[in-house]
Amino acid sequence: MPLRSKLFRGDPKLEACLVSDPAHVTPGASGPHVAKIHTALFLVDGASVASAELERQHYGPSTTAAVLAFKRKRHIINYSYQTKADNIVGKMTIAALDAEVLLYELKGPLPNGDAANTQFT
Amino acid sequence: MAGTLDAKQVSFAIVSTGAVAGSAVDDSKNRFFGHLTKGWNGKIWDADAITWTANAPSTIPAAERDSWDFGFVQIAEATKFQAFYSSRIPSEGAIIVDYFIKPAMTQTILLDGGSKTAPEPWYRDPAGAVLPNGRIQSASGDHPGLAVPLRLENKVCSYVKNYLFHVIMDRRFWTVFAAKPPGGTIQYVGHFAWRVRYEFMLKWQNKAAVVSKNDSVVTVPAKGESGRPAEAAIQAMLDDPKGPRANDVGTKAQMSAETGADPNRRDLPRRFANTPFDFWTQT
Repeated sequence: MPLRSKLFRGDPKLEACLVSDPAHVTPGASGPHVAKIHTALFLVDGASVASAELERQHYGPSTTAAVLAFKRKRHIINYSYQTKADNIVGKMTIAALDAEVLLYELKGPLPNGDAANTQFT
Repeated sequence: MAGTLDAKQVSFAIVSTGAVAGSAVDDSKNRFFGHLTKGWNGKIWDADAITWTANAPSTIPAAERDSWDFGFVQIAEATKFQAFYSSRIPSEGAIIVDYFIKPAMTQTILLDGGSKTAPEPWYRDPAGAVLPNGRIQSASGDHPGLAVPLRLENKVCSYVKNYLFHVIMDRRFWTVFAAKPPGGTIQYVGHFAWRVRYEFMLKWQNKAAVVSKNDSVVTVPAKGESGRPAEAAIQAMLDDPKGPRANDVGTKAQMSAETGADPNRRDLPRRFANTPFDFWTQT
């Protein structure tokens, strides 16, 4: 099944990441697909990615830390060869991110609360 | 009921010294506030920043004076209120909220003052004092504010948060000294017109909003004029001064615009081209 979230679906690099080990997104990567991972981590985890990495669409140290934190929280480990989470976006990670972003997109905006009645006073 | 206040001899004392357009960020309420203030802690909202008195000679018989109302009718024109939200990166979009246009804003010439605290059409509870020289005097003040969300979620970018970038709110006010006999027609004795235009630009540093520029303008005249205001736009309201009140209409418009659609709210797939490179900094 291809990626389903509006954010990810149709992105060739992320679609490939879902099905192909060589297409995993790893530290050092750059491009629009990394920017989408930045957005996803921000949406679902409120992750803090350094503005220099955001600007360059770059998978740098703060992106790496955010990916690792995301995976640790969700115990995303491939037990066939891992005992602890690593810092790459592989098949399991992109699928998990996609599922959570899709939920976010379906849920809609959070309520903003009451507008303060302070306009004309 | 005989008598009147002499509009030709009306006198105003308007004090706006030290009144500035202040701002405050309240992250706990997800709100950015602007407030006309003489020193504000971001929390207490009830201190007037500009104050005024108006008085005029009276020919109302002393025995009848107590049954009259003396005070101020204030008319507000909601000229412009727009908030612009930008984002961390171009692909996380932008949002424009335009509050003071239809359908969210149902009318832009409005009777000001609290519907719960003052009887129509008065701005605040009418109260007149007789000065030793026999003139009738009333006093009042104001401290207009603004409140907008710090963050909104972009409907066309997976509901990722967009951040307040620029907010403008422009309003004109006509403060009119008035007298009303019981059951009679309101008399407009004198007035002054003033304006508050808030304009703030923000940046975000480590997820906290910081005002980067305050271009707000407050224009208050030093003295008033006699009689009713001459502006064509408010003649109908002066002829028949009645609600709904500006605060009530404005609050409804705000709720409606923030949760509404084009033209009151537009969610864009790319952020504004003029978003500065340091709009969002995270270390």
